[in-house]
Amino acid sequence: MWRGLPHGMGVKLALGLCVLLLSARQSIAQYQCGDPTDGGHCYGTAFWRERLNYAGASTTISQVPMGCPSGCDGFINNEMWLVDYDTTACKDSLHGACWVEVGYQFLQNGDSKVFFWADNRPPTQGVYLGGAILGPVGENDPIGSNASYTIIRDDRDGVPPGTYQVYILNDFGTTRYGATSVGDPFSPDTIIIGTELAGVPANASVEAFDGNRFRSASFRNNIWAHFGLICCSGSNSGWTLQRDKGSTQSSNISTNPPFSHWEVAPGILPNDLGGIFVTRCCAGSANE
Amino acid sequence: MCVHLLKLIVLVGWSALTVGLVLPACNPAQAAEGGDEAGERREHSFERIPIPHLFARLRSTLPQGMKALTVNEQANVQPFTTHDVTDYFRAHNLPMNSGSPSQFKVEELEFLTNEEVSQRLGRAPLLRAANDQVGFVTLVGTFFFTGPPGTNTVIYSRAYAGFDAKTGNLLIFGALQPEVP
Repeated sequence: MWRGLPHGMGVKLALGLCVLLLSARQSIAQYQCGDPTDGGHCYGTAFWRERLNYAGASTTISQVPMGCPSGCDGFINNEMWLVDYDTTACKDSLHGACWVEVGYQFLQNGDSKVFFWADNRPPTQGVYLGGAILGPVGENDPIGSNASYTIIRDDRDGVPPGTYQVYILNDFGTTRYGATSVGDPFSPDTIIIGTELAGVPANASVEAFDGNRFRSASFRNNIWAHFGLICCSGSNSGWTLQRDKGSTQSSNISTNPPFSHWEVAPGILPNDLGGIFVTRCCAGSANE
Repeated sequence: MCVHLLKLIVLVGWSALTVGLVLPACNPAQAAEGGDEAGERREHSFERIPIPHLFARLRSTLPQGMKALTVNEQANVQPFTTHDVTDYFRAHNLPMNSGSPSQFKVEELEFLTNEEVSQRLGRAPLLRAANDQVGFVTLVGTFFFTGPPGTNTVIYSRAYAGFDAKTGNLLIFGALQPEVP
């Protein structure tokens, strides 16, 4: 590559490229996604609000690299939420909504990604936001592999009303997690998929999460359930593909990151699998 | 006819343990009855819908949590101590807490059974034996928890973490008490 260049030009060119790359790296990881004093979390999400009460939802999320060069503040995740913004008890609660969520995340000072779930189920007395780390994202879930993330109301006989089951199942069947969310019945009216970013890196050039940087996470097989679980035999829950694009919303204080868009809008193809929504974070620009 | 055929195919697919099922599309004009919430449109589109939850329920893996503490395996010795937990939280934040680890401290470490933790938190027990031991940690200070877009960030004064007494892995986390204004 350097053959034929005038003496010294190759070195100058290389130095110039290095300066350009370093400048770009330093200017890209600027975000404030911390607590309310810093503007709150940032999101790259799509949501649907077409039903009064979703019995459940499911999405398939691809595995992407997530990490932090050093000492990142906060966390980053790819996940799905089932949310009730409208029921009075939920709307009047501290957080302003009830929800169940499931996905995978990378936490500050963490060693690796983990599968997780969490919920906020007021107004059950004394029960507040909580969650669990289900397990590490390991060799069973390599980069590029997929897993389905499902939240479904449990309407089986003998199960207390308001119970939701959470499942994670990868394509190979080698990752199979389940969990149960209990609380007063609520009416999920919104399904949200996408990336959540939290944190305010003190040193923007290095202390920023590097999630999905060169490989976008995809969210496909976006479906919602007509009915909850009604029988252990499996003859339950008609599912429907998300046919509508819904709304795409991205971030708050620092619009992008996370970056997100519909790669394939729902309903475009006969077997579009509910569309393909992609997200990327945290460096770079929306057009990369 | 369409509904019966669909039920038969679902049962066959369950037995075959296949991940995806290709089901015949129902004529929307012959929509099945019942089940939909009042006021919602009735429509069916059962084309190529995977039913992942069916197979996840077959044999869910026990929650493993994530690596956190080193367990003292000597007999009759507490698996880990308050000091161990304090050291852990000096270097790691409580999951999903937007505040800083410098804003909270360990108040108490108790070893409870899975069932006891479930009753204390008012939550379903972890998918493990009722008598499995959990190192339940009460934390005090200032915690910021936020949910999906459009929700409020709430400041809590008490929170918790639960560690597997056998492995030292962090299993559960959450808020216990909101800050009194």
